[in-house]
Amino acid sequence: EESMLEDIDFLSVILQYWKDHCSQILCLRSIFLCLDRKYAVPSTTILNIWDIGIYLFKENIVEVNIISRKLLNGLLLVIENERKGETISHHEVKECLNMLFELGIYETYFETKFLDETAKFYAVECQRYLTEYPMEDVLDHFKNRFVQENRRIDSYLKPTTRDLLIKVVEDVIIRNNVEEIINKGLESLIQNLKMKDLQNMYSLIKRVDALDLLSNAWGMYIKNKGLQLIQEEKSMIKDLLYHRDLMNEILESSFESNPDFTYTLKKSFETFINMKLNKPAELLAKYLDSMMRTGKTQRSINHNDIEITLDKIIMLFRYMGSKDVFEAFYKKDLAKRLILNKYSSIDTEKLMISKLKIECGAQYTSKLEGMFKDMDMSEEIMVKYKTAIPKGIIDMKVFVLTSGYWPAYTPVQANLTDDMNRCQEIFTDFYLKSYNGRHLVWQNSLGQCLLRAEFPKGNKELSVSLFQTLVFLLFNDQDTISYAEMREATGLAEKELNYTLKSLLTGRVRLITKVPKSKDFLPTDIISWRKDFGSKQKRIKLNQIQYMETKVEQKKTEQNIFRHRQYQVDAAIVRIMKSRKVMPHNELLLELYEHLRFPCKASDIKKRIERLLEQRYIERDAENNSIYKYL
Amino acid sequence: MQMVLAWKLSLSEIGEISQEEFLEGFKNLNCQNLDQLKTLLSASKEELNNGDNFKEFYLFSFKYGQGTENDLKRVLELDVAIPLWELLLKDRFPLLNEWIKFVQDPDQGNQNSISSDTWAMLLEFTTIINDDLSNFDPFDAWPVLIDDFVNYVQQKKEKNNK
Repeated sequence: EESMLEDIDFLSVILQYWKDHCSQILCLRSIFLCLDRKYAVPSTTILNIWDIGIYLFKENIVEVNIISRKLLNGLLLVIENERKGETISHHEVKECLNMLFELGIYETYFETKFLDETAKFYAVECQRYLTEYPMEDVLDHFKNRFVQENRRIDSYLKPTTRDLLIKVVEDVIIRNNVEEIINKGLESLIQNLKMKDLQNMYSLIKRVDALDLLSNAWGMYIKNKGLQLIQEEKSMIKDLLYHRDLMNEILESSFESNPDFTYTLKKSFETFINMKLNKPAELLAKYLDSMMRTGKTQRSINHNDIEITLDKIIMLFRYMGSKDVFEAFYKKDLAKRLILNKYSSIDTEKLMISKLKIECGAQYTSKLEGMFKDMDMSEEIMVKYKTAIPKGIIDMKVFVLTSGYWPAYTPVQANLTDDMNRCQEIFTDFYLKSYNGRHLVWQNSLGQCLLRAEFPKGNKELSVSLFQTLVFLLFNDQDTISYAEMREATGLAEKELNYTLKSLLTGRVRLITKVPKSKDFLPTDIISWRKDFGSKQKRIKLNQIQYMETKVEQKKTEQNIFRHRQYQVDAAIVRIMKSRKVMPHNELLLELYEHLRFPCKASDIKKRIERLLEQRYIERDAENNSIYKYL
Repeated sequence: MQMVLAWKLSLSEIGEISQEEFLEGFKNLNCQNLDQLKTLLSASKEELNNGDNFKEFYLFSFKYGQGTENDLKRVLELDVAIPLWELLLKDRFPLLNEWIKFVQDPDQGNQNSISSDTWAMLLEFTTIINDDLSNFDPFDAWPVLIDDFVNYVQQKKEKNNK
């Protein structure tokens, strides 16, 4: 402590000496001005007075061992103290350094040692900070250090030292610790939404050109978090949307929208989302469906928010490989929404289609657009129909669907009432008059009815499916009916009748009862309508677990997708082989991966190749079994 | 060695020989009596030591096993294929027993028949691939059934090693 003070005080001592010396030399020089100017300055072998003075001071004072040591120590100590937070006299240090500079020994004597000490100082400090403090504080502190060192240069160091000093600080503080900083800090900063601190991290790491390390680590985080999220089906889409939002915000506010990082974001999302093959695409379609449907939540969302959400959905969609899965489910759900009139806004629906079009091209959305055209056409046809036949037996609204655009529906057998049949006949005749050559098939499984029902406790209007209607109408003639009789009368297949009855027996509102109350249906079960039914509501909507909504239908959709994919693979193989004539197995696989717009396993492709081999579209080359030839 | 004779005569139906096949066949082979037939048969057996000839013989067996009926389907029923394999590949395929167990195993897919491609590739497999399956590459153009077989054998080995 004492010797420390001595060294520091020594600075002022030596400065004093220097000042005196300088003024004395200057004095001497003025006295011998003539000699100096005319004789010494022009000469190359003799030093002029000033230089001699410098030389003598250097030799006899500064470079004397003990003085040299004390001076250097003093300087270094003073700077160290300032780094530790003490206030020092900048003026004094500056003068000292100026002196050294004049003496020509600034770099050799001071600078190198100074840089060494700087390195040592920061090495120790870093370790301490990294182990003792939370990363936010560490990063902040490091940032401040840079500010301080720059100020130091402005205050008393020579400007030439700047680059060297900054480099040393960067190397010691950041370059040596990049991995530790990232490993310790990245994840927790992200999870705690510390955008500013992430920005600090980014700027610090940017200094040492190690951004690719940060980018990789970030990518890993995105992937790992993402993989976690896709394990939970129920919340997957909501979580993914949030995850993407957050990552995007970090990209923009903390990572300066750096293009490399943008690429990392994209790649990481693509990687983990496609680890679950088809599920995310399916769930995304479902999420979209629930958003598009009518419901209480719709009114609270304004138009801008909806568009923003749609854009976010499209962004997730962009990452997914199984776009055909999304299309199939989206189409199925859209059809349901349109037919059952469950969409909240036709404009929003059309907006989504236009976005999909931009994303995937017109071919992808042409069928979907066709569905909308059909809806508009149906309206026009209904207007014409109403003018031609103003009063039908039953007030009927017909949707005419062009079969290529809509999901494939199979007509379901059912015994409609005579009135219903007659209405359908009349419409069919009317339609075919204008559109001769077309073929109409009634899809009764999609039908909906508004039924007026008289209950002792009050009349009701029931919004029900056509098949549910057929069941209800039976009770016009009797109060109870056996399952077997019901089946006979409605003409519905067992599966169909059971779905319909289940929806009526297990919904929130129950208008019929079954004895016995078992889950299964036996021909001897007795079904009756509830005479005692009452409700505050005049109009009741019965939960329509229509054929379209069951798990069976979902399976069917999936199977259709896979069958369609098989066709596409077959077609692609044939097309490629036809143009190339001869092709080795591996090359064929590579080409296919490029062309196919959905993920495909090598073994699946092999199976298709085998099928084509069997069917003699291609054959193996006689010499080399790995080469195929087109036949 | 009925098979060898059938091969030489290009017969089409197991256990049968038509008059035409008899006459044409023996005429083409220049075989007019029992002695010549004996020489022919032993010569043919020798022939089979040659890889190409054996291949021809093996491929012929597939069609022969089909008979005239199944020609269109291009598959051979397993219950015909298995005895044929046992006969033909007896000393040429050390994994023959595993193979036969594999194709009959109900857990390993749904084989009731073998396609001609798989039949042909099996022969390639026995000649090219080492006994310990060390040089098998699943990314090559092997039929899926053979890929699955290799998997099956390797899994069994692992189980045994444990």
